[in-house]
Amino acid sequence: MTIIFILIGCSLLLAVGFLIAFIWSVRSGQIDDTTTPGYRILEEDTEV
Amino acid sequence: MSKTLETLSCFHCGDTCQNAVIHLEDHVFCCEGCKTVFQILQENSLCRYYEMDANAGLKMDKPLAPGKYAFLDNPELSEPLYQFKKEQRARVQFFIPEMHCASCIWLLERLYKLLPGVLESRVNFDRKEVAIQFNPEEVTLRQLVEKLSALGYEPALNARREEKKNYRSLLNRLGVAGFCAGNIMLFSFPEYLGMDPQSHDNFAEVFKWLNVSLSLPVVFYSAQPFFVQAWKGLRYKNLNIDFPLALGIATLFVRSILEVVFHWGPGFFDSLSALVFFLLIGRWLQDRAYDSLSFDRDFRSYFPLAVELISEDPDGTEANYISLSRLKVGQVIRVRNQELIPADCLLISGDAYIDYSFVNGESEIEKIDTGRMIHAGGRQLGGAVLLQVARPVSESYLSALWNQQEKKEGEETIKTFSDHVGRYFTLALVLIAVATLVYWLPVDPYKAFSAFTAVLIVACPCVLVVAAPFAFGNAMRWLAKKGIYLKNPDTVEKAARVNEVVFDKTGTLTEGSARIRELFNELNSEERSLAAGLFSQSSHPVSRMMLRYLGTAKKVDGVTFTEIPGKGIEALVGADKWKLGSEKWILGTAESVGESAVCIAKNGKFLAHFAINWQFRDDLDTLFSNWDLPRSLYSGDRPTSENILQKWFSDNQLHFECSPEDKLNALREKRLEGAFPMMVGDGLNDAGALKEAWLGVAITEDVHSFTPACDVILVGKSIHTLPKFLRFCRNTLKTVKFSFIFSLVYNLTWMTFAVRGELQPLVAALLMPISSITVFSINTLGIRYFAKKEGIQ
Repeated sequence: MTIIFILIGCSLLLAVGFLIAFIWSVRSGQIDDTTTPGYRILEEDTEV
Repeated sequence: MSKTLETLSCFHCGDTCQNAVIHLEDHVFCCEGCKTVFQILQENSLCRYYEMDANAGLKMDKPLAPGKYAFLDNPELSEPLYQFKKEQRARVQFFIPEMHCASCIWLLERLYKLLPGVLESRVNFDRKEVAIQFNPEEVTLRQLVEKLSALGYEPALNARREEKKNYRSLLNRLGVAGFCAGNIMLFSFPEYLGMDPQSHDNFAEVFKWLNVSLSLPVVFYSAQPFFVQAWKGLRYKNLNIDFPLALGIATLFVRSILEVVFHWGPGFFDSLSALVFFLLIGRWLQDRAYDSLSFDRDFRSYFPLAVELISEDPDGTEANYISLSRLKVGQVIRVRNQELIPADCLLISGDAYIDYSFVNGESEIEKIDTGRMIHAGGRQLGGAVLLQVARPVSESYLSALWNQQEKKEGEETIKTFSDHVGRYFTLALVLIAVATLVYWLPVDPYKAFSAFTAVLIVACPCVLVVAAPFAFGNAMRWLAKKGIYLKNPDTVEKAARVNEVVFDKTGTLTEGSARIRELFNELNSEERSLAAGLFSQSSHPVSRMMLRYLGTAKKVDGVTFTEIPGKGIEALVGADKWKLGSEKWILGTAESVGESAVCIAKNGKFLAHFAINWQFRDDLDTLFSNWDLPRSLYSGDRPTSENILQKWFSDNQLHFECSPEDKLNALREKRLEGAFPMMVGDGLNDAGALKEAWLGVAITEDVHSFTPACDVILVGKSIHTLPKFLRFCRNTLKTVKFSFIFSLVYNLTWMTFAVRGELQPLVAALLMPISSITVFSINTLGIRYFAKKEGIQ
């Protein structure tokens, strides 16, 4: 059952990875504005 | 033909084309401005703008004043607008109030196509902001601003914005709390499933310590704001709303650590971390809701100011009023005695004695030499001065001066009321929680701690603190739509408590026209125009009336001018000493038949005597027909028009021949008797009385006399809305109180469960944000309902 400890370690590492990803996204300002990107995706750049 | 005209709507802005219709290709436009914008877009093949939202454009019928933004070429003035500036790259962020749809975003983010030198533009739609990076060597800030304005997206350069609220740290705390809470819950599974801790290789022991380590960031990082706020409160010997939360978290944490260390049990780490997680979510939602509203309030409730513009001809007396926002650099404006300087100006002529007390709080009066700069926000004392605008200032700047006025003494607003409630409530809450703990401890120690924390969390009156300012800000916004401008949100509560109303007559109940009779007139034509010139210096309604009556005013130079409140004007023109004012002051007696009378004397020689009968406003019947408060009238005039006033006032409510001091004293007496009198008067001449009153309402005719001495500014033609205004404020206060009661009942109900130990701290943390959201909804919907009911919409 020692394998459990390794699994716990893995799962924690994975979760920490996601936490770091979240903190990075907050820091880089991705969550500052949650409305405009929704409009932006509707714009189709047809110009050459 | 007329039928087709009606259906024609402008391709750019969607407005119905009324008179001149401009055709271009297949499209019609309502004005040249709209057509121009269309052409700009077409040249740059940006016509997709119209595909995204039909008629997305902004009406462009008011052309931009050339040179309005010339001041941006001055590096000193434009410097503060930059966020960042280097040789080839500069960054600015503009607030653009007109931004309203997807097309706006699309166009603003394609600014680089319209203006070479723009590197990138990014829109934040929620905040109506655009961040623009550009190359200052290719395009100047002025060109940038002018381009935006030409497209209809004029940035509000002077809008004072609160420092951008930073959600980032809150979000980080939220993320950490969520991460820890999730994992702690995972490691609590053996506990939930009732596994035997002894049988499986010390799993239980390992999991416990994992939980301890995961709970550390929750308590010391995520929950930090609660501890910091609670500590700040304690330092000022104040139990604030964060205190119970901090106490609950700390107790759970310490208790859990003890359990683990002494092998009593697994601790409450799962409850603790989930609790912090939910509390942070609640706080985040609450902040967002509050923010979006205060944003609206700040930009929709400004008082529209106007200034008196002098035509190009310097000798001209023809005056017209334009709105402050359209004031251009180089224009000449006239500012009279007691009026506020609306923009940074150069003094052209006249004696300027400027009182800067609104700006810097010092009551020293500064004499300004001709050609020198006078700063916005100063108040002119003395005769009228002509000023040339050097730099326009936004309305928000002057409004800010109005708002920051110090509070009157002994003023108690509901904010402090909610502070009181908060404090006693918190104290009671802590006591109840402790009692619960003491009661349960001998019975069931596990239950004791969870009950203790549940009580602290579920009954937390967090929302009380933000509910009142939120509701009042909302009400203020509704009122501004109706031409009633409040100094600040707290004014709503003050208005709700008004229980007596004092009116001034001239300029308040009467409008700006009157019948003037000449009782005696020995003025020759030169003296006549000179007298008119002297009257034109003053902002008193009588002076304005006399100016209109006497006609052409002579430009008066080299005059020493003093205006004595309640008496009149004293001036030295060359060697002649002029006195223009009340009979009592000049003749020593009052005998004429008019309501008010004006005498003119030169070097002690009595020259002219006029009787003035004022015209009452049309809508006074509406005003007084649904009036439910005691009212009275204090006038400086004599009681000849009493028969008209008796329609609305009984004899003992009418007071005549009051000096400004008499009015002030009358109000002071009423205050001392414990009443909350509202004074309705002319902002400039009743300034003292307005200040002394519980609530000062200034009536303005042409929205140009901005007087910081009052709490409310009401446009003259909407005076009949006064009863509605008071009723609306009372109902707003009722709504707020109702939401308070609701939240108390809600909290108490759940507290009864918590005290009995039937509520998990986790559930308590879920219940709390629900109460916050309900209180916000009650306030928003309630106020909207009352606004509709009073027709304020």
